[in-house]
Formats: sequence, structure tokens, C-alpha cells
Amino acid sequence: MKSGWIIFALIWAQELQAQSGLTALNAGYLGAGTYSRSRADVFCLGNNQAALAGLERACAAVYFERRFTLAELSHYRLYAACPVGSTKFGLSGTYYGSSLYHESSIGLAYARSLGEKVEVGAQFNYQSTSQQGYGNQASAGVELGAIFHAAKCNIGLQASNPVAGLLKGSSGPRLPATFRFGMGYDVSELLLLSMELVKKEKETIDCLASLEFQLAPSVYWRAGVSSASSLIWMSAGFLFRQYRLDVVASHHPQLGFSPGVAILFAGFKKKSS
Amino acid sequence: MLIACIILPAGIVNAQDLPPATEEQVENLSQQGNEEGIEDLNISSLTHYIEHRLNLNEAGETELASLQILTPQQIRQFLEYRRLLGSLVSIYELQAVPGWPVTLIRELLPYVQVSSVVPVTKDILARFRGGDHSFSARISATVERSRGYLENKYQGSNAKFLTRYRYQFKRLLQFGVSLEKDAGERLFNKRKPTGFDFISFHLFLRQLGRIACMALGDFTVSMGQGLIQWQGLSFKKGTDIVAVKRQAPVLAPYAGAGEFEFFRGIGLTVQHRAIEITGFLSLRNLDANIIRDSIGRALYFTSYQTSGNHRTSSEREDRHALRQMVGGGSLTFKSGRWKAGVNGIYIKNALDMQQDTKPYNLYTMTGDRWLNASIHYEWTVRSMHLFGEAAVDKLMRRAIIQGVLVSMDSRADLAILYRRLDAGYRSLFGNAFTVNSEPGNEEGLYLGINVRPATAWKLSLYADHYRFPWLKFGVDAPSRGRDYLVQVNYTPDRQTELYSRFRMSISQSSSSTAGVMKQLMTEKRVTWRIHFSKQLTRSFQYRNRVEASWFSREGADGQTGFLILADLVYKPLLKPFQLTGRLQYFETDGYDSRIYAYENDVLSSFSVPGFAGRGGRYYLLINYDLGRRISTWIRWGQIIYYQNQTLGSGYDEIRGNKKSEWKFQVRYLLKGEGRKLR
Repeated sequence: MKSGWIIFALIWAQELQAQSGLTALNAGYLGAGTYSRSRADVFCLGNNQAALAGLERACAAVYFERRFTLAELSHYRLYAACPVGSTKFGLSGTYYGSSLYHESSIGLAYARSLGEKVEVGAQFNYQSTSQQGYGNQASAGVELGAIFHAAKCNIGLQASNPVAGLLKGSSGPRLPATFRFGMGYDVSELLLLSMELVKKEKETIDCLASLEFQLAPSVYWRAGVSSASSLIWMSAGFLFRQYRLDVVASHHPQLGFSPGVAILFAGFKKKSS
Repeated sequence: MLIACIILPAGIVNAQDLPPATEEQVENLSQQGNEEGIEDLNISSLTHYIEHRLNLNEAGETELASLQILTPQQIRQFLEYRRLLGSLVSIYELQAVPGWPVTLIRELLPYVQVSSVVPVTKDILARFRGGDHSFSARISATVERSRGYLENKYQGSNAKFLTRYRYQFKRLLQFGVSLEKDAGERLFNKRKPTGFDFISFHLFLRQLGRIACMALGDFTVSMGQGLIQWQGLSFKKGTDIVAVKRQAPVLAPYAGAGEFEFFRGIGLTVQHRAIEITGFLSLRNLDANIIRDSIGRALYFTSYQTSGNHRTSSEREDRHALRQMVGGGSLTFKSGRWKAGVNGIYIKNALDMQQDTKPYNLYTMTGDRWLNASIHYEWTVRSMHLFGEAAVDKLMRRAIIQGVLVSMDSRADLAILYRRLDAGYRSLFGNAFTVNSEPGNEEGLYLGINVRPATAWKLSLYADHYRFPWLKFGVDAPSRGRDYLVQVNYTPDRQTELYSRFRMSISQSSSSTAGVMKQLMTEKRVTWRIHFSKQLTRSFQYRNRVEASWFSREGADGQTGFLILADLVYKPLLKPFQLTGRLQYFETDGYDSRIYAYENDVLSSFSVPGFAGRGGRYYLLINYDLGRRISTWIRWGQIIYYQNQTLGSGYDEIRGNKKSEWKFQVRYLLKGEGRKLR
């Protein structure tokens, strides 16, 4: 594991899911870093909470994207994680939309390692939707995840609302169940290949594939594709001490570009090698 | 120490798991609608070897081939090694056998052992003492009552009951009785004074001087490459190219629960030096759909009923309605690296067979008798093993299979198989390497390759192009198809296995629109599976699978399917119990995009349900050993469909959206060295 700069701000997951804006188009891109021993960071809260167990110091991150360059489709994320003994706690907040219509959620996550080979995690979310003139709807959900490590290969499984929740305040639709299966292969210290299959209830299977390559000690490059939403995305990450800045952009063949930026702070405690 | 580390029993395969390639084949059988046959198609021979491990110092070519794990070249290499260097001293010596990689040895370990050779006693009666006695009973039932029970169409209870007794003295003597009642059948009535709907008995002896083996009662016969007769373990296309060649002893005891694929009578194999002669005679009553005249006399029959179910009045009318006599034999000559033989089978029914005059039935078997004959050969040349069979039927229609297995390199094996079966070729008990479930009306070329580029990696590929020269049920014109498979296995250590399987199948079927002329539509089915298995600790094993399917047909909307499951196996050391649990979610657009998933079940039972629609599935299997001789299994499983109001159809229709099943089995080992299964 590297000393200092193990946190990669560029963990993107291309999840173009029309049903909810809480799934960022560019960010949540932990599809790559999540399934890696050395590259997992606080953004894994968006993919598989179990990866949080690999963090060794407190960290925080913010992410912003403007979907298809439209202000009304802005997406914001705030993540924080803190190790407490052998367990890790995480906090996530997400906001999407504008004053006319917006969705928001807040989540509390917990993760721990069960030996060298297994990490498990859980997250509890509270999600609300608000539309001007129509009021609010809210619901609670749970996510469960596990990651298994074997040599250079890392496999993960995560289920969100596996038995589905109910929106409170109205007889609205249930929160859909979502299942993720991900794999990451640490080819070397410089290269990571990963893939994730995402299946949301009643929606098309999404296959997300990505790679991460370290161009220089302080510069990272990532790229990936999403099958369901026909997206191609790229990002560049720059490291400076405990900070990391990522610039990301994706392209949809009909809807155009979606830029995003992420800033991540890795914490003051120096990780022992 | 290094050898010990490599050879120590792999954590991935425990006694109730099948090898991944075999698990795939069991799923393929289920997809072909052969659920009933899964239990009786001698897959239980593998569980038999778990309980009575094959002694590698005694095993011959036939026994090694029956494991369905070794290629003919690997068998020859082992036998040559044993001939030159003598009996093996320990299981670790297998690493010294040329051409046997560590991965192969790990796959074999659950089924083999190394022990001293016990002289064959000339006193046959002595074999009836000192062997293993095994008694097992199994009961299972679906909790929800289907329409057949609610409307009193099924006269019996919804419990399925199977009990078996078996005595085994090494591989020299085996006899046993099986009693079975299917769900919906009555346990006792006028026609069944013995109570059970199906009763099977077998007595099987080996090595009686010149008599290599003798079968009395129920037995199976397998000859050549299955063009005229095959009732042994038989697989179709899969990731393991070994499945291309049919390998099984000619005669084998039958102790299954299926009620069709076996013979009842006497069989004998005599061996004198290089010549082996087998003869058999069977006489039994089969289920068949009999057509009668106005005063009840039987005129002819239209089909065999192979399900074995006798629940309704019409099913009971068909029970044992047709008397059948079968006789046949095989003459084989072996010399060094080649073998050749002739085979024949004659079938005589008490009634003529007549089927509907549909175009696809043009070449169906008719009359009250049938005959098939064939010649077969095998020949090993350097690193190639050639094999084949040529057959004819009563009407002189022909069939031929020609294949070759090549060890191109220590890390690569190749299989090529060509088959050509006339449109009208028919055999009643044939089961060859064909797309059709019965041999006939097919021509095709198969190419398969297994490559091990590095220790932890294995690549399996096959391509199969075929055509059907005549019509088939649901296909109103000659048609074509092709199948492809790519699988990558990654096994970085003994505790971890990961594979990704991609399969594509393109075939043709008739459109469902009404009318005289039905066009052929191309169908395409694609599946992608990723399977992960890891031994987390010495007690816990975790398995995870994701599978997606895509189905398309010309002129119709496509369908997609998805399945994800997670298994946890808890098997603590030095404890007498094991727990296996599964959670699963599935979602498919319809029946055509259904997905099958193999499930752990009680000993000698195999469960491969297909999933269509949207819902969840879970099951829990507990195995508990009550002392050294008694083992119990209990299983509870449930499928919950999210949107259905009813499940199934016809008399099997269930009201509601759930289907629950429980199963209980107990096995008692009376004496002997029978090893408890965990």
C-alpha cells in the first residue's frame, strides 16, 4: 500500500438511471477503486460500503457535477469516513436537482474487516423527494455489502433494499431493489482493471468497466464505459500532500457532456507502511 | 511439505459438491427438460465414488473412464505409469504421473484413494460378508397444494417417498432394493399390494473368473458411443472436452429412481484375454399410451410414458401397459492401444407403435419390433485418441460419429467430433453426443479446446455447427444452428475459484402465427455467468454468482434475464453438522430468458430449478450426523414471485405467489467401511 496518497478521488461509476437523480452520472465512480485493496477511498460509500474497511485514516470528500451542463440537473455529494478501532464509520449526503424538484439523501455507514480476506459493511439511508406544489415523500432504506480478497483479485457483492422499502407520506412506489456484483484486478501498482454489474429492479442490467493507470507519482488517469447508458467517461486526478483534485467528464451520444469535479482530503494521520 | 500443501484436499470441493464442469452438465440436463432423469442417469455414480473411493491401485481403464474427469490419454498415462513403477505408495505420488496437472489431481481427490490391492476371493459367498450395508429413506413434499390435490385428481398424498437398501462388497458384489412413490400417487391400492409405485432390485457381481461381470435384476447397458444404446452417465456439450467421448462400462447396476432408462433381466460379460463378450436380456412392462377399441382391447400404442407419474386415472391406465422384450450384445476386441467391437440390440413390444401422421413424425419408429446394430473403435496414436461408431437401424438408415481427442501440449487439449445421422435414423435407447435428445436427424461438427496458459488460469472454448435435415417438433422445415462457449477460470489458490462463462446459441424454430406455411424464425440466446467461490476460513465457504441472459427471436420482442445468488456453507471441523444456505434474486422478462441454477441438495438428490419471472429464492440445508452410522439431512426452500397470482399450469397450478418445499433424508450404515458424507 502506498504511503501518503492512497486515496483516489477518481472513483467513478457511470450510472445513468433515469428513475433517480441521486445516482450521479460521473461520480459514485467507485466501481474501480472499490474493488481494490489499495485504491479504495471514501467514495466507495456509493458502491459498496464494505470497502470502507480498508481505510486507515479519516477522510472527507466533496463532489459536484453538472449533468449535461444543465444547472437544474446539478448533483452534489459529501462524504466523510473515520476509523474507530477496527471498525469504520462513514457519512454520506447527496443532493440533486433544483428548487423546483430535488432529491436528497443522507446515509450512515459501518464497515469492518473479518480477517485478511473479507470485509463487510452496511449503510442506512434516509431519502426524500420534493416537488414544488406537490409536497414531499420520504423513505428509509438499507444497503449490505461484502468484499472478498484473493491474491490480486477482489470480488464484491452489494444489495440495496433487497426486499424493497416503501415511500412514506404517500402510497407511492417502493424503493427498488438494486444488486451489484463487482470485480477488480490489481494488475500492478500502476494499473487496476475493474468491472461491475448493476441490476436495479425492473431496469436494464448495467455493465460498468473501467481502468485506472498511474501516469506519474502525482497524476492518475481513469477511463470507463457504461453499457446501459452508453456513456464513456474519463478523469484525471492530481495529488498534493493529503489533497486530491479530480476532474471528470462523460459523454452521452445524444445528451452531450457532463463535467464534474471532486476534492478529497485524506486526513492528517500518517499511515504506517 | 510442498507436495502435501498441494495435494491436501481442496477446500472448494466438498463431498456434497459436484465438480464445476459436472454441475454445468447437470444444469444442461435440466434445461433439456430431463429433471426426472437427473437422479437416475448415474450421476449418483459420482456420489457412489465419494462413499466408496476408487482404489487407484486396482482401477482399470473402464473404472477410471467412468469418473468422467480423465481423458483417454490421461488414463493411459496413469496405467502405463502403474505398469512400469508398480502400485502407488500414497496419494501424493499422483503428481509424478506424466500429464496429470495439479488441478486435475485436486478434481479427482474426492473420488479416489490409494490402498493395497486385496486379492479377489474365489469364494463368492464370502463376498456376502464384511461389506457395507446402507439403508436410506427420503421424504419430500411441496407445502402448497396444487389444483390436482384440491380437485381430487391426484389420489395420493403430495409427499414423495424413496427408500433404498444397498449392500456393497468393494467393487466385487453389489445388491440392493429401491422403493419409490411419487407425489400424488397412492401408497397402497389393489394394483399395488406392495405399496410402492416403483420397486427396483439389482444384483451385480464382478470378477467371477472368466465372467467379468454379471447383472441380475435392474441394470443399464451402454455400448459404443451411444448411437444404438446408452443408459450410463452421458453429457452433452460443456466446458470440459472429456464429455465429448462416451465412456462407461457396458453393464452397470441400476439403483436409480427413474422408471424408464434401464433394463430388467439378466446381463453377462465374459472376458478371455483380449476378447470381451456381453449379452443381455430384458423383459419388463413399460408405461405407454395405449389406444383401445370399443370393447377395451389394446390395438396399438402411440408413445412411451417416461415420467413415471401415476397420479391421475389416465396416468394409471398407462402404467405398465406395454410388455417389452429387449435382447442384445457386444463383442469387443482390445489390443494395446486400440479397441474395436460390434454391437446389436433387438426390441420387441407386445403392440405396434403408431404415432400421429404429422410431417415431423414421418420417420418415427413403427411396428412392434426394432433393431439397431453398430461397430465402434478406439485408437490411441501418439498424443491423439481417435474414436467412433457407425450404426444402422432396422430400415438400414445410417448414423456415424467420428471424434478425436488430442493432447496438443501439456497445457492444451483439443476435441473434434463429427456426427452424421440420417433424417430417419432411430434408436429407442440411444444417447449420443448430439443436440437432439435422441440420436437421429442431425449433422454437425464440434470443436472444443481447453488451454491452461498459466497455473492459475484455464480457458475453455467450443464451437458447434449443426443442421437438422428433416422437421422436428416445433420446427416445420429443415433447420440449422450453432453454439459457442467461452469460459475463463481463475484459481489463484486452493481456496479461491472464479470463472466467467459466455455462451451463445443460435437456432431456428417455426413462428407461432396460425396458418399452413410457418416461416422459420432465428432465435438467439446469450448467457453470461460469473461465479465466485472462496473458502473464507476452515469452516466457512462463500459462493456468489451473477448470470444474465438475453433472448431474441425474429419478429418478436427480445427478453432479458438476471439472476444473482449468494451461498454460505458452514462446516466446522470436528463437528457433526454442516449448514448450507442460499439467498437469491431473479428477474426475467419471460420463459425464454429463464435461468437455471444448481442447488445443493440432500445426498444423491440433485436440484436444478429454472427461474422465470421476478422474485426471490432461498433455501437452507442441514446435514447432521447422529453418531458414526446415522446421517440426516433436512432441507427447506421457498420461491417467492413478486407479481404472480398463480404458479404452474394444469393440475400442477398453485394459487398464490409462493412455492415451498421441504425434504428429509436419513441414512444408516449398518457395518463396513462406508464413509460418512459431509
